[in-house]
Amino acid sequence: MTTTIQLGAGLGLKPEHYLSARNSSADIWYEVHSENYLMAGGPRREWLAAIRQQHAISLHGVSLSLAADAAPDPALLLRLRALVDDINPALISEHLAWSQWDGAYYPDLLPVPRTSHVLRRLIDNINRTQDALGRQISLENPTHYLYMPEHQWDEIDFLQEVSQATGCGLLLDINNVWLSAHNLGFDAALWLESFPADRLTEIHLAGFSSDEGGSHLLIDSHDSPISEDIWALYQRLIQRVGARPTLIERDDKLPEFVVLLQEQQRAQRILKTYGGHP
Amino acid sequence: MSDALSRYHRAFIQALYGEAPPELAHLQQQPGFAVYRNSVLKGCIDALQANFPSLVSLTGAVFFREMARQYALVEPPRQGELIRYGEFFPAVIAAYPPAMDVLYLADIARLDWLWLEVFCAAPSAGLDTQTLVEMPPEKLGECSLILRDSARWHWHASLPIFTLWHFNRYHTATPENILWRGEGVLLVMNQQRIEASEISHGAAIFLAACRDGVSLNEASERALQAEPTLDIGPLFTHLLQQGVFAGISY
Repeated sequence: MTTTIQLGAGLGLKPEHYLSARNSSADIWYEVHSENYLMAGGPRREWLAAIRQQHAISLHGVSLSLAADAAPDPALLLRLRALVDDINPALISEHLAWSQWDGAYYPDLLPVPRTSHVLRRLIDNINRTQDALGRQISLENPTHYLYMPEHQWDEIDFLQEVSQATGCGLLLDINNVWLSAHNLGFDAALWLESFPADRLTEIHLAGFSSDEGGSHLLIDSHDSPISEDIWALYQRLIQRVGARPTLIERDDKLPEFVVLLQEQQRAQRILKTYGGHP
Repeated sequence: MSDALSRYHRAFIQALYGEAPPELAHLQQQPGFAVYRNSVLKGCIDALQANFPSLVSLTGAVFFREMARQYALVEPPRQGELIRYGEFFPAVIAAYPPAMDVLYLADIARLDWLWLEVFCAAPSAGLDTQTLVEMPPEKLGECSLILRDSARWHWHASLPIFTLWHFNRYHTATPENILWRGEGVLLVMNQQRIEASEISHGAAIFLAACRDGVSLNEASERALQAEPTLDIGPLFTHLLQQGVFAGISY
């Protein structure tokens, strides 16, 4: 069974907002990128520990490279384990993507074809991660920018299979679904209708931007407010599946804390109003 | 590992860096491929910009980002912990033709890098000065002092690197008269703040001797050899006040 934690709505946490975050009301949780807190000590770790005293924390990784044709770096897993033991996060998550290959790290979430081989590799890598961390992780659906004729699996079937085989939860990024639907030409609402509610442990909401390169593509830039289309899809999903921990993500063009708080409160209202009956 | 998936990873990376592997032609010709190419490079450049703020302030963002782009093309990060990215950037800057005329650029980069090392250092307690007070003076000289993990320093024989780095890092007023002479910088973490202070050549030699594990007498001798006018007493007090030492070894 997938663990469901009734955390309500949370915010992505950036160093610019440490003070506001620590002093905000206690029912907000925060998500940080694990890789920014792997150091042995120093101000960042101190801030995280101080905020953790008042708030639940979610650790969101970007570099385990779970969809690579190689096991996750054991040294990185050890350091992650130390962070997990120290912070005791409410949630831990990673992406269905790869970013590490042959000793180098490519700071993006690179795509893989959904083949049966990738499925087996992903299952093995998630098992290794969960064993190393001693915890369940959740796997996030990526944004798609490419048509890949190599796909052998439907995306939702693929996610469901991984989740059932490993016991991992699924982190559903509605923004990523909306952008993928736009970029590749499918119906986001229909896609969301068939997403397995029983595996859903967390939801991400974020803003996006147009491609500066001038193409028709929409980019998962996390640098703008959440669009009304995304809010509508979110409300519909919550009505169907019930309340789930929901994160407001903003990684670039960071506004004042209070601006992000308004989005967090809007998500909280939707959870409260529509999340009662799954 | 499967040959097909590993080959795909390799080809994808080649394509990210401008090559045209035939097996990925169907992906590379889509506008979506450029999104990945741009994101990877932007991720590297943004990380360097965050890690080397004094250098950005000194060169301006446009010059910096082009220099960072050149570095990122040949030296991708080794790990996802991007605060550790840029180890070889100072050395590459020293040999970067458009920056060759600006002699101090590589040293400013070096200081930003040392700042990051201090920022990420394991926590450690400073030396309890009572230990020193209680020690007979004749024994003290035979001891060696252990440096804290969160202390770094850098000395340049002919350039005022402390002055140049400090006002770019902390955005203080540009000094009216810059004295073009050698300067050193000491960086130490104290109560979650990194303190930067100027040190002399002898001080840098003294710290290096401590790092080598030699006795206090030997460290003082080396420092005086490098800087005969150095007053060891005040230097020692300054280093103690800065919290440079973790302990003492008999």
